[in-house]
Amino acid sequence: MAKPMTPFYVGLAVLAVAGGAFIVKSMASNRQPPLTVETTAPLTPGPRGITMGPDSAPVEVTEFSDFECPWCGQYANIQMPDVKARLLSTGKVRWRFMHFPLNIHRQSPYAHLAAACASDQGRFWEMHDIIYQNQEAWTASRNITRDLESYADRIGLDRTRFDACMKDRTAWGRVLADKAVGDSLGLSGTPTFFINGRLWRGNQSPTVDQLIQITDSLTRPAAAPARGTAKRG
Amino acid sequence: MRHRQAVAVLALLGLMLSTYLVLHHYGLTGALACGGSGSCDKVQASRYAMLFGLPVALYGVAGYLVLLVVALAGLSERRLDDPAPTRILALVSGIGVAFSAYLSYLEAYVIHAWCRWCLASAAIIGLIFLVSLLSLRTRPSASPRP
Repeated sequence: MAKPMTPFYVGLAVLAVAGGAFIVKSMASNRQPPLTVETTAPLTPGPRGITMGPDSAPVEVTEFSDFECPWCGQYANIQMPDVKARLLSTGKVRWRFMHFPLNIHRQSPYAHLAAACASDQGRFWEMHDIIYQNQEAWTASRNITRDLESYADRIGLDRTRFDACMKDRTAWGRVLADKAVGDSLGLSGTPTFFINGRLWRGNQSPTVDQLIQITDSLTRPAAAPARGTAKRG
Repeated sequence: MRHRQAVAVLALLGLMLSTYLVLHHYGLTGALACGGSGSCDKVQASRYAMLFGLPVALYGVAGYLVLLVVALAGLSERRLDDPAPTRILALVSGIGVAFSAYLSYLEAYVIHAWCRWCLASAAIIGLIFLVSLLSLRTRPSASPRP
């Protein structure tokens, strides 16, 4: 019995070695960047995230987002212009961006750091937009720092300050602080939305029309609480 | 015997594939080889990539490991005519097929993106189930061992 089975076991072993080699190769190709979401940095105290819209707005939409996540890019590039034009312009809504770089994305931490550095110069949203508009380019780039520096130039950042921020990484603590909030909420995917603290449970990200509907229901005098689409998380 | 050998080979393939996806989930591999479409990333970054706090691929690792061990155990001489391993293979792969069908449904109708690695896994578990069913059907006609 052992003899006819031998070629089978040899073949199985060859397959295991070939598959193992592929996995090891893919792990070796993953040049560990010096900056990862696990990199420790003091969590910066204070308010989390970056907001757009008035502080007095009765409705807040919180978005946990990863700059390398394709769905987040799609949302930022397609939905956000509409959100700004039709929703944020009403003054009823404040948008809060929370950094949530996922472990699966190796380039993303750099983009989040760059956005946090741009935020120090009051240009977070400009950097946010240009990072998402060029998502395909920098995610495939071999020199992401150079790409981010060119974006800093294009949005008119003070390059000396930006370069210093990227180098000393003090802003990284703010990214990690946002990430810690998402982790504490048990989030695992991006983008994840909360509307006035209630988790959006829709299968897809909320459309502008849905957000307008929810905002109207939340701001209507003596309105019943929104039902169905947004539930407490 | 041929059926169990086929299941062992397929289970090994599935095991390696899911291990690769688990390692990717924990950021231990480079970008997923996905033909540049980004679809794998859409699926992996979605909240459906986790189930009960664990990456979905980890359930695949567990399932394929069970299938591999059972198939290899079923190839030992004293168990060759024992129908139990085949029944276990059919049961476990049947559960796997149902799970894969659910994940494929999510990809098609909820996430709206196809991850080719997940599809490959669905094909593998489907084949294992098919082979196990064939094995169940052909077993009664197998020639009795002295």
